[in-house]
Amino acid sequence: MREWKSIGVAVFVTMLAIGGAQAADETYPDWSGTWRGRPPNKWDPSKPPGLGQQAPLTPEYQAVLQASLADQAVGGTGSDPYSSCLPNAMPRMMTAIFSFEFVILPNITYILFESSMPRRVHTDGRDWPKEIEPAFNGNSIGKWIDTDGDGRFDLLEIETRGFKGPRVYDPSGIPLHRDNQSIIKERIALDKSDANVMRNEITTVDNALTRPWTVTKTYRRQRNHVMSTNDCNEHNQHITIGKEIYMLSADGLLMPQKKDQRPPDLRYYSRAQR
Amino acid sequence: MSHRRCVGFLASIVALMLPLAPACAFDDAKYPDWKGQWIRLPPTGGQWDPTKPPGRAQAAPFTPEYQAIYEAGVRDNTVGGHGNNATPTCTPPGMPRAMIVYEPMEIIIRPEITYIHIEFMSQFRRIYTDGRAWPATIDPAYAGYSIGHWEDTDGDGRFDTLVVETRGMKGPRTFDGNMPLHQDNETIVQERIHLDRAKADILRDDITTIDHALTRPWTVTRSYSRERNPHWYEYPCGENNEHVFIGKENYLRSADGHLMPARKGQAPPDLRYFNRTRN
Repeated sequence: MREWKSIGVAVFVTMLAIGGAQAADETYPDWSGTWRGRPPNKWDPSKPPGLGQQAPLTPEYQAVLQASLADQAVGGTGSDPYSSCLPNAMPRMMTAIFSFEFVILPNITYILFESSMPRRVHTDGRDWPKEIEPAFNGNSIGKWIDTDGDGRFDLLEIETRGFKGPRVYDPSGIPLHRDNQSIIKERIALDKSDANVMRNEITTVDNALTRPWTVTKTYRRQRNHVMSTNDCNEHNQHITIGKEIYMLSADGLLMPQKKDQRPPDLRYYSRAQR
Repeated sequence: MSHRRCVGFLASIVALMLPLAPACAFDDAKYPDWKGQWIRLPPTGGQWDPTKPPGRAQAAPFTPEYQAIYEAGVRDNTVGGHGNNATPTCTPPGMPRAMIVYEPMEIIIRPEITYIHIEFMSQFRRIYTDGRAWPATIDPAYAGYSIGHWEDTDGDGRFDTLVVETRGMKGPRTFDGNMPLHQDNETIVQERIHLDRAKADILRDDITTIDHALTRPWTVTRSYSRERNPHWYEYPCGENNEHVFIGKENYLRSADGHLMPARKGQAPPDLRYFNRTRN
């Protein structure tokens, strides 16, 4: 009789273990649905755009920003590479002007975007590789933390390195350094008082800055959004030829994007054709 | 005594299962192991039916109207144009062409959805396996809208085949670098995705396309080989694209950053909107 009780206890414990496996999603936070950031036009949401951002740039890179703003003031696109449909890249992509979603697996968290290439955040305890293939999104290693000790992870810490450029923070063209040695640290968690609000504290360490620059992005959860694809090239009216950017007119012809812009150099066409 | 053995046996099961629990975000054992990176087979050649040579030898079952569009594309190719191919403008290939998998593919399986990510132009497919019905309206997309279900074809208790139907496409789309799909975009693509029975590192996709440019459904099987230690890289189309499209004309960007013709005798772009006297 006692042995049968023991079998019963063992079966019960086994069932609990199976249940635990099936409910292992409980180990990770509920970040289901899709998320979208606001506002779209500036890096630090708490400050005005452009110079109002007070980016802690070195004098050299402050001059790069000033040149970008000056070009935009006369109708140009400044140093914003997105006008040529280059990727928004890190850290700008985390402004999330279009929706994104998380796919959380034990060894990796995918961050999937409507308008950017996906991010793979490795959470398998790996170390940084000796060589990193440079990427606009960089290479990310993360770890989950249970900050309140309730047995469920609630914070994802990420460090991202290994970039290529050009990259800027926002449409005004606040630049990152051309050496692409940026290190970006993120702390992503739900707002403690509103589970439909997510905060991402992003610290950028970059040689174009005089000190690390920390901003906090806020995303709002969308429960019933169907993810689509925003393809930059589909409706892009900018035409990049060499270092000049022109516009495509409504009737499909090349036109200047700023006053007195020179037409493209037609040296590869015969004189009779020009 | 035999009961004690049974208790011990069950305790062993418990001991084996406990370390697994945190690693199982869902019942992994129910779904096939398609982890890793999938690379097209053969690794080169961009034709739709991999068993036939490219071009006319594909013997696409076109209607006369679309055979004529195909032939016009071939003629344009011979003089340096892109024919019916929209990808030089960085327009995604869409379905079904995406499944040529020009650059590697990753498949992420969750109970309610399977994601297919293809590095080429970062195409994403979301295949809903949550039992949903077709929505009343579908926002058209190059990749379409996909609903699938899992089948356990050999009855071993583990799913082995993902059956997918995709609708709601937008265009322009081609099967490969030239063979067009119908402009009405009413294509239906049906797929059966499964591992090769004899080789667990070969994935097969039996793809049937139903389209008004065709006289009958067209079925091909695409294959992919697995790389278990993948190295992923980005493929942003706009990064090194030397094609310049102005209106309906395509030009090239020279190595020194100037506009140049893509074909012999091509006229330069119309520059009427520039102030030529000042410039």
